[in-house]
Amino acid sequence: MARFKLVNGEQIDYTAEEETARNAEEAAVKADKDANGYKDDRRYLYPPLTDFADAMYWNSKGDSTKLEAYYAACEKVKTDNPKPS
Amino acid sequence: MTAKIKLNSASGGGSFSLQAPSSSSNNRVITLPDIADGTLVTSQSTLDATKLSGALPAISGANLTGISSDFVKLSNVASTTSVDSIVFQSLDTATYKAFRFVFAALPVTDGADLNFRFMSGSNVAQASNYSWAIMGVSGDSSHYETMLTNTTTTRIHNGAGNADTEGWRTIIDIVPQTTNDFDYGNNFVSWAGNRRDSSGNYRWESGSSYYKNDSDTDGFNLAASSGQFNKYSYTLYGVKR
Repeated sequence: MARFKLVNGEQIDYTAEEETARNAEEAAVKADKDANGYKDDRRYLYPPLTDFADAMYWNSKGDSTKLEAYYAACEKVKTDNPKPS
Repeated sequence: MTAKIKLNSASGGGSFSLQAPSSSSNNRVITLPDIADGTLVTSQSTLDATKLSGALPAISGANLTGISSDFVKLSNVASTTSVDSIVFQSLDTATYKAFRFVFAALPVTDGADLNFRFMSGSNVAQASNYSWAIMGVSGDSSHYETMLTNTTTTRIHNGAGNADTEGWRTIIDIVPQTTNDFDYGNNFVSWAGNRRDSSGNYRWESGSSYYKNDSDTDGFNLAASSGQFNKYSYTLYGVKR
């Protein structure tokens, strides 16, 4: 694929060397995303830690409802964004 | 005969006169404002800004003083032609201490990150000397952090979606290292912006990066982690020393 860059507002073709480097970089990014992307996906989706703190408080008072809901929400994030096998 | 109406002060001090123009073709009318009090403006007058309203007449920039020009627009582009990277090189770092880059873009590749590198002339600064961190907000009371050190690039923002309402919108402040700076003093970047990810989720992110290298830099390079920029607009400003 022909690639080009905008240098100080002027469109310039990549050199063959730049194109090779860019292809290699994109391949590395894809490999990393495939292997580790689920970590980022999960991080953005976990329920807030403040919910966890509140759930722990109520759990200490004998009501585990919120804590169980929190664990279930975490479980769903993991299920929806599985670690690659 | 002098056509003049003269009003003397009651105390016998000063007076006020109204006199018609001498030429018969110069018939003038002065209409007093239809308000309780009026003030005539002369070269000796000062204007009370609280009494001004409406559009000001055109003022020549040449006549303005005390206006700082230390913040200078250098470039402004809006494009829907795809590019792999946006590069500024050989910027005037003798004049400008820092650069502000106001940027919005949509990636071609869904979920691509936005990456930054310094430039030294036409060479990309890509030694494993970048340390950067991003703090993001993903919801009410939900946040996330990412930090990496000794990498070959800086991630400005995490993955953005490629639909029309997704992409990144950010303001990046860039401070290159120059000859007169103390060793390793600059080559840093700070930013704040937002993105909408591949699922259209809004994320606010802010971060800062340091390129631990004493080499002078005079430009920068922005690229998606994968694929091209589909659409983009930017304005580059220089901040004088």
